[in-house]
Amino acid sequence: MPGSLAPRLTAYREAAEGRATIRQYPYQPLPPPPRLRGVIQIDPEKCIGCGACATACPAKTLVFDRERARLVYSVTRCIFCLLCVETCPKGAITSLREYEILVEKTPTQVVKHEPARCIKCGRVYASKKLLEEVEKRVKRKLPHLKTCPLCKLEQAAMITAMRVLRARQAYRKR
Amino acid sequence: MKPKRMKSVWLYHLNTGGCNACDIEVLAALSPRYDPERFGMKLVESPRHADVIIFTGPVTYQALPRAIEVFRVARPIGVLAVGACACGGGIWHDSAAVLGGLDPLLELLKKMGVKVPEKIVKLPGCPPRPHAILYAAAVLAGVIEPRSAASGQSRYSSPSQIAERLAHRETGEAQEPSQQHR
Ligand code: SF4
Ligand code: SF4
Repeated sequence: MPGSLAPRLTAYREAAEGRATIRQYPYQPLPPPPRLRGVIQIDPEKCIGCGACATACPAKTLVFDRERARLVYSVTRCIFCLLCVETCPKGAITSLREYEILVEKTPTQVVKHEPARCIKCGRVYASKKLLEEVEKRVKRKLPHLKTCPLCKLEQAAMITAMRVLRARQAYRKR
Repeated sequence: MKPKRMKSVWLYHLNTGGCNACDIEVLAALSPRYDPERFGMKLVESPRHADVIIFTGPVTYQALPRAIEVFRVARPIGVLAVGACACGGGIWHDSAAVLGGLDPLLELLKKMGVKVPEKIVKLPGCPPRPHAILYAAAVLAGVIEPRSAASGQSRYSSPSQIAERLAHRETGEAQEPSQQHR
């Protein structure tokens, strides 16, 4: 089985050449392997604050705070899976190829966004950049984007109730 | 190299319910390829002999009494939390069956009146590389200084520097070009 023999042969050769121990390592930094996954970095310019990365994050260490329209990333709980990198629709997240990550506290990165307020209740429900992006993608103005999901729900409930009432009245008249 | 301490640093490996990936990496870091015995580090069987505890796992309630006992007996000078679980609970942080890593455990120990170590270093990753574990152990033992970003050797180095860099990024100022993963 040449496949299973090859790494062992490499190890023997390295031992014979006196390279079995990484002698220089903690004193000198070693270059990281090409596909190493490391700390993520969010580009505040590119990020639109959609929160897709926060939904994808299995450790929930990347959190999107909807009430304050900000994205918070803390390093210690991150498992460097890069699901956030794959999920981000704008390619705003990149990973640094770095493995000597030694921390005492919990370093965090906060990406603040301009909050969009609901025109009915005044609650913050998204970032302005996200609404702009949505309108840009569908290529027209969407007035119903200006209300928050809760108000929309209320509105929908009202419309349904009115319909039911009208149908009932029509039934009674018959 | 100046002698930093009187005695070699002996390590005790404590798994508090992790998935064993970090433990395998720790054992790999203790292998002859990385050779921490040149710094006088070795794995000991009893917590009574230990100076530094290598701590892995999210502290499940099954493992909690043993973990407390180990800390009470060992009275270590330092703790090295290896892996995302040990650092902050990892993907189990909101589970009902775990305490959530090293910080809550140390708080609990303080409340119980157990002496907690001064030197606490966390190494996130799932799992971290053996290189990183060797580096962290060497920093904890005082063999090497944490690499400084100023010297251009390493971007993330000392705990304060990673915080500084991340704080720096928040303002969106110009940074050095990063190497991209994809
Ligand atoms: S790399 Fe994984 S764990 Fe870390 S923030 Fe991204 S999705 Fe979350
Ligand atoms: S997925 Fe990308 S654009 Fe959306 S909040 Fe996360 S970083 Fe920003």
